[in-house]
Amino acid sequence: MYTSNVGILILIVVTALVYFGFLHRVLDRMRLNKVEALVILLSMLAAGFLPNIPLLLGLSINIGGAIIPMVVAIYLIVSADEAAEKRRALITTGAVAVLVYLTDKILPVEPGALGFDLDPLFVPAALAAVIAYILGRSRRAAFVGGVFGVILTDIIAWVENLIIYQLHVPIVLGSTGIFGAAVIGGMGAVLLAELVGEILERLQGGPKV
Amino acid sequence: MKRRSLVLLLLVAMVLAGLLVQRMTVGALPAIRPLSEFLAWPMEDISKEDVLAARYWTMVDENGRELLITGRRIHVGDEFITGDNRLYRVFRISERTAYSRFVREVGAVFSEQRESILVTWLDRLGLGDYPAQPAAENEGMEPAAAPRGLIGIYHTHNAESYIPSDGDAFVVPKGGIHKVGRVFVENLEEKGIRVVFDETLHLPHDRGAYRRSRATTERLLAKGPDVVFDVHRDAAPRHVYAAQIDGDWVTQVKFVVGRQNPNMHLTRQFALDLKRISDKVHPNLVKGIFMGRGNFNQDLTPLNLLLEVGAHTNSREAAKDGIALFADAVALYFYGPEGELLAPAPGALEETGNRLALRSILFLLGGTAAIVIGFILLNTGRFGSLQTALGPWLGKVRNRLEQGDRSLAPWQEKIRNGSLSMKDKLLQLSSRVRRK
Repeated sequence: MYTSNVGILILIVVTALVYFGFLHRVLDRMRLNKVEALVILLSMLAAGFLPNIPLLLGLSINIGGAIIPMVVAIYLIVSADEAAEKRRALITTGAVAVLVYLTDKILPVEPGALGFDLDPLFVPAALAAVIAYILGRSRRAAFVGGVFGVILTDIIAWVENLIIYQLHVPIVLGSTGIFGAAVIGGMGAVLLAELVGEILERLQGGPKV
Repeated sequence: MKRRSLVLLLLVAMVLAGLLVQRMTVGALPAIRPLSEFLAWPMEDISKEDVLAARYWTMVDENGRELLITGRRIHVGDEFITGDNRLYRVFRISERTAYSRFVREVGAVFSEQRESILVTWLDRLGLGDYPAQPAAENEGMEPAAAPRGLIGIYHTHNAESYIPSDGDAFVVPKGGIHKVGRVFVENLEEKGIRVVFDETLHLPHDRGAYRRSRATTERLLAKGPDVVFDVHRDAAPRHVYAAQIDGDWVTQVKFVVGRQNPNMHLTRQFALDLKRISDKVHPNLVKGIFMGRGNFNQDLTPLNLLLEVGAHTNSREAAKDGIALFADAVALYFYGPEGELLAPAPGALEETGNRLALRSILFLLGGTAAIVIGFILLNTGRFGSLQTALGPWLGKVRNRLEQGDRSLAPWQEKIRNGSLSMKDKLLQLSSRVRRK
């Protein structure tokens, strides 16, 4: 690695620390206490370095980037008190998967369209945040939708390769571990929903008690 | 009803404030377009059909002179450094033409615009741009006795191909671009450089390819390369990338830097450095540096550069010749003249890297602080509560500020006493030695 430059190294470390700080904050809001959130964060980080688990025909799964976030997401669905909350999480997941797939296909291959176009890496998070918020101001649905939306989209791409091209293209669910699209999708969605939600709620005069 | 109006008013005020801040910091106010124009924008701007129908995006200067023709969508605010190091910024888009203004000549260091308040403050803090050390001063450096490093190469868009040679603009699964990548690898290896060429497929050929190629980038980074190149080809008419270098017709190479990327300052400076070296080795080989929307997985490392080697209308052979020449520039940039095994790059990144990194860190921490304070404000709803939350800490800071350098007095006293007693001890010791 081109590490003769100390500044670049420090930048990488600081970026990672700030990112972890936000992830911890998000997990902290997900019915987990601070210690549990930290344990999950560290296990995601550590498990991201483990080899991917092959599933079938080129499809494999990363423990830190997919299995642990999916377990957290499933826990959030199961532990939801209301049936409506569970429904919201599932609808958000489906809608995110469909919309991300559509944007992948309809929008230009290179990022940059329609004024506020985002890099494909950040699109799932933005979509999950908006849908979950519209459905019921739900941060948990945002997380579930962000994580599962990305994973479903990857599975669709894998099926597409199998059927259309008849190729076993390697697809890793939750690739890049904690820095991957699934984690960024889930965590980014919660942060966005929280930020946008709080601003809107405060502007409207705060929650009515 | 009144509350709703207030909310709307606040939202409008926030947007206006945002535009004002952008105006102050970036200096380019985005053009406001009528809704009809927005709706009329084509969605599928670089589809296969478009590529074949030769519908491109063209960037022109104030005099209508053509600067760039590309398959990449161009937006207001996007920037392009031309082959002769002139920076242009897009201010208006009409149909598929991007009208740009000349901003300035770019030297060895990419400095921000002077009118930016942020940059002015960074300058005051001693973090501004300074001219890079001339390359000649690096010539006397001791050569490092290390073997030549490691370079990672991959293709996010595996299907990209060259019509005259491959028969189609897209060939599944591996298009002509893989053969161009292979030539890049061979030319680097001929110079004794180790290369990891990752030909993992990221199909289907759609927008999600960048999400899928993230795993490839990370896998390459785990091997500890000096730099990673994501090799693409553009969509443009044949003449755009054609250049005669050393008597041969080859395709030029364009660099793409994503603006949705925390490492953007460093990646941009790296691109500028590499172009400068390439301009010396093979003038006119690098077409320019396009700084547009996107991330291109450049957030994973600042030294990850996207290359456009020619366009689909060029022959693959010309692209191979272009990338072979570019390998000379890469080898020189990272490892010095052939056979001499010089370690550091003679580029400005060495001198400016720390400062650029520090600037990025400051932006990152500043942004984080703004978000955290924003959250506290939102959750409490009052500035008073913010004061309560930050009160104890603010109190300490205020006390320290009021005391000024007086707060250092006890330390000064300690240091003075310590040095005096040390002096006494030394005198005693020397007198004892003399007596003996």
